Amino acid sequence: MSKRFLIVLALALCPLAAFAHIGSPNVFYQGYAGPYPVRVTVRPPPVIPGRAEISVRVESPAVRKVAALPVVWNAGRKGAPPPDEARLVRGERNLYSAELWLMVPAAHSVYVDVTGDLGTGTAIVPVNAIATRRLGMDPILGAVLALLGAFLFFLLLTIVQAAVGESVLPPGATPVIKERRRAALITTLTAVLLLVLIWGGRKWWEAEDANFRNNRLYHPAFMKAEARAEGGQRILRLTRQDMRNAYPIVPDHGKVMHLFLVREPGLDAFAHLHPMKLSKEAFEVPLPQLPAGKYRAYADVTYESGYADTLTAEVELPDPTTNTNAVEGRLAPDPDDSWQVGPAFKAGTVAAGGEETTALTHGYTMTWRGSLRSRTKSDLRFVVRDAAGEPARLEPYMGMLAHAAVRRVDGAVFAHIHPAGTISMASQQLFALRAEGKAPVNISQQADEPVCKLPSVAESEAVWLKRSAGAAENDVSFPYEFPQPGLYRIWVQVRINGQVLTGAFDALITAS
Amino acid sequence: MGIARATKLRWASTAIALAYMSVIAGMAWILPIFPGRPLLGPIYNPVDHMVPLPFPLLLVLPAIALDLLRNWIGVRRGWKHHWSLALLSGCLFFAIFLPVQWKFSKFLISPAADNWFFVGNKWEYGARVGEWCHEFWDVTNPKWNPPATAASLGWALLLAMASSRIGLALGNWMAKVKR
Repeated sequence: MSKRFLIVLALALCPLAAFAHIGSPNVFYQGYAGPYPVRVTVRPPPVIPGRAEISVRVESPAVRKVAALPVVWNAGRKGAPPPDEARLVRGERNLYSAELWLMVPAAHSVYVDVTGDLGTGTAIVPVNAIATRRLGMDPILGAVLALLGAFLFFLLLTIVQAAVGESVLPPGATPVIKERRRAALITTLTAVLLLVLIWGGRKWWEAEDANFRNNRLYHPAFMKAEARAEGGQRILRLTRQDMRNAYPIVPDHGKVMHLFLVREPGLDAFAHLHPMKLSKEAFEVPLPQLPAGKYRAYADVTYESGYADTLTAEVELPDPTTNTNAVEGRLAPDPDDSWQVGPAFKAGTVAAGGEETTALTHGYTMTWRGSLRSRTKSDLRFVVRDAAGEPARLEPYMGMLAHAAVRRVDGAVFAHIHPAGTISMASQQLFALRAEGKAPVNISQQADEPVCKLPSVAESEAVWLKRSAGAAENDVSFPYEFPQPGLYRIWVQVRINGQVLTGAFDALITAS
Repeated sequence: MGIARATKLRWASTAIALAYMSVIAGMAWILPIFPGRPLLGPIYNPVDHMVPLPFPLLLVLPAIALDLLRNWIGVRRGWKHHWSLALLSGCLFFAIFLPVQWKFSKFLISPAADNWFFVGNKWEYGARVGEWCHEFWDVTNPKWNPPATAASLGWALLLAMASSRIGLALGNWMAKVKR
């Protein structure tokens, strides 16, 4: 099998979609590298350039070599450095690890090449390389460097004084008052000059730091969100404020935007909607029967560079309209829109770990299995049963088995995850197309519409159905790791008999 | 200027300029002989040999002029002499170096310099080689490389004279060092 075919196969076998991260920078991917099932974790560095930690678990015997390389979206594989061979982790049978330098702030993907008895296969894992932290200096190191700097400062003044006052005198002569004064004057002038240089250096550093904070450090992109009543509908309009990263948006599983609405502070209302694009800046969506209140909006988009972003907003929703005589709404809702209204979050009722079951509509139940430990990667696994306690048959839902949204109660973390992990499928598809030379690398930030054509949802859904034939149909797992301890609410969405059902779980994640 | 003042050599500035040029030009000729490849990405310009610095600045021409001026004026004491020498040197350096290097830069970015001697075609692996490689940068990016204006040229002339005066002061001091 050719490598290209294996890449396509690996992609086709991955039912996954949009990527979201607020406070959750690590990337988890579960899929295939050609014939080899792999689970890849990428921990991007906090600053760029920096080293990303890659770990790859290959669920297959007879693997001879695992290698990883970072590919920048507009340089392609031919513009990547030679792959780094991942080393088998001590004490592990099939877990490999590597470190890769990410040198530029741009959309990257980590190519994981697996070689074994079944040939070579490649998994493409999109990673956003962007500085997420401003690293401070260790105060002790700062103090030591300041002392050494002061020492050099006075040393240089001593040299200048000796050079001016004594070096021009014949051996044995002592400087007279005139020479001493001259030396003192020039030493003072030198000290002033040095202080001016140090001050200039400080100004330069402050300018660099401001440039880093304003232009290179990641800031969640804010949108303006306004809800209005119109023709018997409540319509939410989202307007992008920051067009700095303004490459055209590509549809991720057929949707230009995956919007999550969460009512604050109780987290008791949740919606996963798909606004339609009016212009490059503006999006609109008709609101479902959500109660009025203050909502936090998270909108996942993927740009044509392959960079996946989460835009955020706050919005006050008015009461649902009661005017039943109103003319029919102007906007038709997306058939894949779904929402849930449930009990408010109550901190006292949340326990750490253990198995928990929540009721879905139509008598279905969803059970969360497994233990919870922060910073320890363990799948979030859910099992769905019908009213009789029999396994429920889950249907593909926008090309995948399930969606989940994870939010820390205080809003510090929000992530949109899938059984294939945290990555954006559109981003992965773009990298695969570019690997085959089927998508341009020179794209315009001015353009409204993307030029790259991504595979259709039906294509990946069909392959997913084929792959999942025979597998347990009521069991979904999400590879994810909670980035911080704290109280979380997790919404899990599945489709049964054409209807999307949402289960909500609360969890206390403790530090490991 | 400083070292030339401190030495007794007639062609000290020329010798120093030649030393600088031969070190840089030597690197430009020797480094590309050795194979090398980038181990970090992104690689927009695939290179398989080491990439040298650009061809050195043509400092030797203004240096010859400075030596001629110094030898013509001679060494005398007094602030008038020092200041006039410094101002004249600054003007001479500016008047010769600016047009010479401007024309030479134009040649270096032209395809005529794409050879082993002038290493005009050597770009680092992160450079996105294109048409801009043959254009003056102030044309492609006026924000980073503002075009030459009367004010910027005036500053350059002023700095040339100031650095000549500082160099002369250092040279005078060096010539007097006894222990």
